[in-house]
Amino acid sequence: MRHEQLRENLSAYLDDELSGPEKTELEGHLRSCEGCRRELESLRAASAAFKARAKAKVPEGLREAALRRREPRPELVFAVAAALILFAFVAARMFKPQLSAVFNQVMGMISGAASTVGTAR
Amino acid sequence: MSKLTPEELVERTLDGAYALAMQLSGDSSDAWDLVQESLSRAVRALPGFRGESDPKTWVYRIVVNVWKNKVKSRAWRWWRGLVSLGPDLPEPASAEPPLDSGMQKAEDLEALDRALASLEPEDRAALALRELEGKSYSEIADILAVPMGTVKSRLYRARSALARLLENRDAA
Repeated sequence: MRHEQLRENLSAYLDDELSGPEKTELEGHLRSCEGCRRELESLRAASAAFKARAKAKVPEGLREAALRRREPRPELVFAVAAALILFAFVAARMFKPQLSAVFNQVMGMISGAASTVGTAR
Repeated sequence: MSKLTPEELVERTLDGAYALAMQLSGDSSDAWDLVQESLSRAVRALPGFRGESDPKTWVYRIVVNVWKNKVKSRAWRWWRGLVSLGPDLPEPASAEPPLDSGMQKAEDLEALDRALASLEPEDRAALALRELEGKSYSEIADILAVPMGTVKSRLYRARSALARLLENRDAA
């Protein structure tokens, strides 16, 4: 096995994840290679530093929040409602003439239909 | 079918899920959302969980999937780009540096955090699953949905990057 590949196996060696033959070969190599012995110690130190630093404390309230059914945040609901009202207001202002025309048209159709029904009787 | 109650599931998996989410998202607020959404999904799916795998592995897989979907989402990327000033530092369990870590000074901790932030999220996640949860390479491969060879190379890459940082610190 090439030296670079042996070196890459050092991390898996620390985790005891090498196959029997890989482990035997690497241990043989470690006896004769000071550079790889140093690298092994460096990787071990890196693991310890990560372990010490990365332990994260679960924030208060997350346990309860995880068990609660996910519902939209109140501030989000308020923001969406406000945006919809604003949109409706602006749209009504912008399209007021067209809306009036459509309204009159619909009313005309309804009264036309009503008078047709009345005449039929 | 699973005999776990939602409370038992959350009790068993919350610490590991949060540690994993912190390494994936690099931000405590995003980690909160990620864990809340993932565990809510897990609780909803619990009646169908047959218990064939370790509940932790099952939940961690959900965390990774939810994170992948968030990252894929264009809106999420836009939002992260807008609000992010770089990955947040992981919140340590204790404000005091552990005595056995060899990291005594505040600048050492900052340097370590910078080195961690420079790693790929999946590399940090693999490291967290191995170092904090003691997961085997095959379990990590299952959780991250990658081949075992990828897990091996990710762990080597992540440890090497941190090792170089520690060496530079010692040489300074």
